[in-house]
Amino acid sequence: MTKVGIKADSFLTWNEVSDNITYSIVITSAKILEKSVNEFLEDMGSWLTRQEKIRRLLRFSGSSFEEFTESLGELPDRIRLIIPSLEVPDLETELLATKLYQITTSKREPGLLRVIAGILRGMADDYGTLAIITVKRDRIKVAVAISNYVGKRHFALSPLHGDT
Amino acid sequence: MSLEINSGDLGKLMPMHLAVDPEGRVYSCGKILAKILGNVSKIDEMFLFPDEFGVKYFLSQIFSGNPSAERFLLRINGDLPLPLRGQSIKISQNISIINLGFGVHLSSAVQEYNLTSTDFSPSDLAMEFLFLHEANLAALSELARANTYLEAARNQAQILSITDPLTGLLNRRGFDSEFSAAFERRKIHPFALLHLDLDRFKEVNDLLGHSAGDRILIEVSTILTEEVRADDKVFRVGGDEFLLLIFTTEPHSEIQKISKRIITKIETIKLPSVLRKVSASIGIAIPDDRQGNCREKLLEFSDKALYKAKSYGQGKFIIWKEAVVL
Repeated sequence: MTKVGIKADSFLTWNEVSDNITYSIVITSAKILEKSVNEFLEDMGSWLTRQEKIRRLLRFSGSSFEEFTESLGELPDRIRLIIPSLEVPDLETELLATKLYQITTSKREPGLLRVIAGILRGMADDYGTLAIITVKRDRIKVAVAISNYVGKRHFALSPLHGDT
Repeated sequence: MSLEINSGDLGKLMPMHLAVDPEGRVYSCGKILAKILGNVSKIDEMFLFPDEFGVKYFLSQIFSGNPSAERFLLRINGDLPLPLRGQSIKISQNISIINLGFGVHLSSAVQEYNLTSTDFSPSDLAMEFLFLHEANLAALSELARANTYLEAARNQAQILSITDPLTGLLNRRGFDSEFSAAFERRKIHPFALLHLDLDRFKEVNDLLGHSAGDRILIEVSTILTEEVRADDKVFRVGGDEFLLLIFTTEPHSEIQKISKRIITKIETIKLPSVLRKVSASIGIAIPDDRQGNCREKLLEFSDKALYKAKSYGQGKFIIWKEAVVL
């Protein structure tokens, strides 16, 4: 944080932050972690899926990884339901062939695609699905190899039904 | 035109429906209701009906074609008597279809009966409701966290705003609020107001520089804090100007001892031999009837007493009396 010249405590939940600050945090963080920016963004996406509250909200999108991928287009609208002011570009999922999906965004936002790819990777793990996820310029390709590769992580509709 | 649908398909399409005859026998049951209620064949086993409006009354209503039967509440006959909101349509002489919903009790129902996303029909908004409910809680807890942080930051800012950064003593703003509170309570908790000013501090500053001056101010603030009791208050209100609130039931006798001690201690502060020692003058004002209800007057008296003390040379203290007003 200090390397980018900002104070950690100057961030407030739901306060808008200018893109320049976001970019410099991303670039500096990647440098510190000795990763490429793309790698860092994907890791951030996967990290999001490991935050229990976020993971649970994502699991509401479908009961399988395929359903999750197919309904990815709903994700921006879901986010807008909670935080109407948050600008999220539209996402579109196309079924190219059986178990082969292509995801594109309405706005060219290469960084966002990397984060989405990371989320998809994280959620594939969560659903216990073996999938090959590749990002090419302006699109993500998801090929589902084995749907029930390992066991799904537990998910009950009621948060009180607990984990594991 | 008439439509035919088998009860299995209807059960999937409407997971919360029941088809009943005028005797209350169940012909078809949606899959969520089946999961909740098990295999029951009569409607009066499924729901609680109050005595005065028993199951007979309920059935007569839903077969009467009476519009009032189109919306009603039914309570589940179980450990958790959840109220279900419902509607009925008579589709033939012998069959009425009842469709039910959890309404605002959806979350409790999901928790109680361990319902899953596949139980609900895709057209049902239940999943969106649960999603929103949970997202809302998460957003609230995040806001509460931010709130706690802001609260702490605000408290910190408040403390800083009444603190003198050099000595850590309360500043002029801190004095104003403490003084007005003390003045309000002066009858119950008598106190004396001490106005202290260092003697020859300017010389130190001029000859040794400001950082040496700052060191002396810090030393003086330590002495003042040590020489008064924990309940007393010490303030730095200007360059080398300090105010003290000393709470004591015997202000007149106590205050002389304290003032003497303070001056002696300040005179022990070590300085390079080229300089004469620093000392302090103190003007003291003790609330009585003369300043009436005006605390500014008391402050003015202490200031006048200080001025008088200074005029007698250094290291003196004077308690303000009518007689000494210049």
